[in-house]
Amino acid sequence: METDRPDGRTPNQLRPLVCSCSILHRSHGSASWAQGETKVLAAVYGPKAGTKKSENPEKASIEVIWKPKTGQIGKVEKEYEMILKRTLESICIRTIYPNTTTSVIVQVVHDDGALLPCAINAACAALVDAGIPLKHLAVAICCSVTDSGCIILDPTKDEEEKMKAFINLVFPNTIVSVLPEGSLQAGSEPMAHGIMTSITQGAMSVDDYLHCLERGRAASARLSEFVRKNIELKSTSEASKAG
Amino acid sequence: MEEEKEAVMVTPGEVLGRTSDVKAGRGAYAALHNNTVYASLTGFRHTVPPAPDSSDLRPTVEVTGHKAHGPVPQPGSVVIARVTKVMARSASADIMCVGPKSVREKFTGIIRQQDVRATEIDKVDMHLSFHPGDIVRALVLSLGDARAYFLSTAKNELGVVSAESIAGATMVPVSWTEMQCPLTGQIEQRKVAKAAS
Repeated sequence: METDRPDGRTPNQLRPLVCSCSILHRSHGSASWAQGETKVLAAVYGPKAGTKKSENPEKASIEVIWKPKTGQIGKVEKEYEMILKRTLESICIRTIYPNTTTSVIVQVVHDDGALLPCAINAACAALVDAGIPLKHLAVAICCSVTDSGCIILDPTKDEEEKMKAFINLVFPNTIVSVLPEGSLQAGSEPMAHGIMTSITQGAMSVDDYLHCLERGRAASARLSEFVRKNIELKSTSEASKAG
Repeated sequence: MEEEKEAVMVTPGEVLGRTSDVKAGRGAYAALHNNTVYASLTGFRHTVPPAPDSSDLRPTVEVTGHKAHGPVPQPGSVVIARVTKVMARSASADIMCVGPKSVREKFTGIIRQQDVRATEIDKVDMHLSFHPGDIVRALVLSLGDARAYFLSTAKNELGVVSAESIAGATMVPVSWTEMQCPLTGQIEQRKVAKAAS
């Protein structure tokens, strides 16, 4: 079931991705992530001393501060902060530096749809840039369901408003290994098939949800490849500068 | 102890080997649920052979050449700190260096009365051991509470390494409990760190 999109993309096509790291000098790590017109800037400060009263002092804590493009922070932004915090906590190795806090500040530069996945991708790239130990990378994607039941990836703001429902999915990066393929099974399930975060908005059927998962997972493999290439390109250029 | 020559670029989450074959070093971690070693940082994969006298024959796999975050005080690490406040039972200090590296963020430490020296710990006078502004070498005992790390100077090589006299000159150690002002000749009490020979 094909659908025409205003910008001429196919349902499975993502907007052009742009990622830049180490763009802020005062932060310990920073990254900007753009998907089409949606752009987010993330900065990481830490690890810093101490944890909040509500946090477990035996683990490092992650603090997320969301800065909207304009105006004050509202309920939606508070929810985004919480989702981002939980997602980042699940990828960070928090037992290495207990009783420390790492602050992640997310600044929205422009919102043209799929803002939360864009912010998650930016925050993850900034953590990598800061040298924070991670279990794995996280890649986020937005899938939306039209009234006709068609699933489209990475919707724009206009498309989001017309959709019946949409879902933000976060997957671990696809696994690259020095081991033979068969050894990457965790039980009967390949480890790359994990899902870390799933946030739905609107009403969708179980079948629609499963189709979104399928499409999202396929797109996450492409995103993983982009992130990995981007990081490796930056690291090799830094290594050649140092050399 | 030679490292392998070819270095492979890795990103967090990439599989580096099995726990039965390799040990996780810097920039790597072992997942116990599936006995696999993964990268936790971005950098180059290196395998370091085991030491000849080691009982564990597994090589260590580590990720090097990555951008490191600022050092964090950990139990057992030796730190350089500046004393900020001296009280009857403890002294507060701002940690400036962890080992040879300076910290990016402010970490606070507390030297308790019982951790100043190894002998006669009940007779310690904090005001005769440290003054605000003194630079001390100390050992991190534990993470302490939410506000500060617990520090100790209860070794010969730990204690005040640099202090200013009332006259404003940097004092010279005279004994392990005294420092002297080179301008006025006045002697002040400190818990002095033994100079490294």
